[in-house]
Amino acid sequence: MTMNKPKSAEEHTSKALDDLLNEITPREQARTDNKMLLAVKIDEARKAKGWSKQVFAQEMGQHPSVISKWLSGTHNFTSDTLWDIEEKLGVELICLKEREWKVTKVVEYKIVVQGPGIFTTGYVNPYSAMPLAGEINVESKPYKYG
Amino acid sequence: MNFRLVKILGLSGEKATIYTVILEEDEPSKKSLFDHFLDENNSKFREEVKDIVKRIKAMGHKTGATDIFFKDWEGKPGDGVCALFDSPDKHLRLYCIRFGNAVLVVGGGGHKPKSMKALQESKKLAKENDLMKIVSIEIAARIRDRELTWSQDGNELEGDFKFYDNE
Repeated sequence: MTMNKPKSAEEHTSKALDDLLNEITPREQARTDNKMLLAVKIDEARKAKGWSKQVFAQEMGQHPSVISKWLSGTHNFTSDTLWDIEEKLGVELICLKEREWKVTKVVEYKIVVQGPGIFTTGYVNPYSAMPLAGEINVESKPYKYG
Repeated sequence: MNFRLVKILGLSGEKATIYTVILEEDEPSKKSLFDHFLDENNSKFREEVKDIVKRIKAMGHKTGATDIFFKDWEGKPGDGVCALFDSPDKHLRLYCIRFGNAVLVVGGGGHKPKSMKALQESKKLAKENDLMKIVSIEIAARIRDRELTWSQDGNELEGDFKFYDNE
């Protein structure tokens, strides 16, 4: 006797969707992933506390529609709001220890830029340069031909 | 209404399987309800459409289709149809059906006028919502009759995905 294998649904793709997926950079997708993971983490902490969304809204001093937005995975939280949520729910959302570790790990790269009549060289600390890319400090000197 | 469910390869992942609906009338073009939604809104609301695609992909691969990402009761209570969360400043509404966190059926939707208070005020949205209500009822009946069952890992459905009369 042969058993019929359970059938999965037919796989589907379309040009419109593929074009959009190709346009989305890994960084863009990661940003959305992180927002949604953060929302799930907050909601799990709310449930662990035994609070309904209504109670959570009251505790946070917010309208329920604001809580829906927070939990929708689309909200851009300020650090103040995250700290308030941490305090109310007793959950760590901002990992400062991890950030301190990153600050102490300094790597230097030598950057050489060459163009017609220009020779520029310098060292850049990528961590310090990251927040303000315009502040990269390079020494320059005239390029001598021959 | 004759239709079949198909699995969207580019959005499904280890956390959730994302399905959509191909109506019988769309079989020649193989365009799903979600494909129509993308085609209809891609040019005018490109960034919003991209954001919707990113969020559904994140559900497939990272979070599952958790209830917090949706607005419930976008029809009559208990009809199973929900809408992907959209804040008042957004222009688009997309109708979906959740079966737990692991299975999500994305349908169609459309432009949500700012002044709109009830979905009946938009003929297009009301039509898309009605379609999804029928899909929801049909799938629920198949699950109840065990013509559609959960896979061993609980992450997708298996069985007969063709919902045609007389078949």
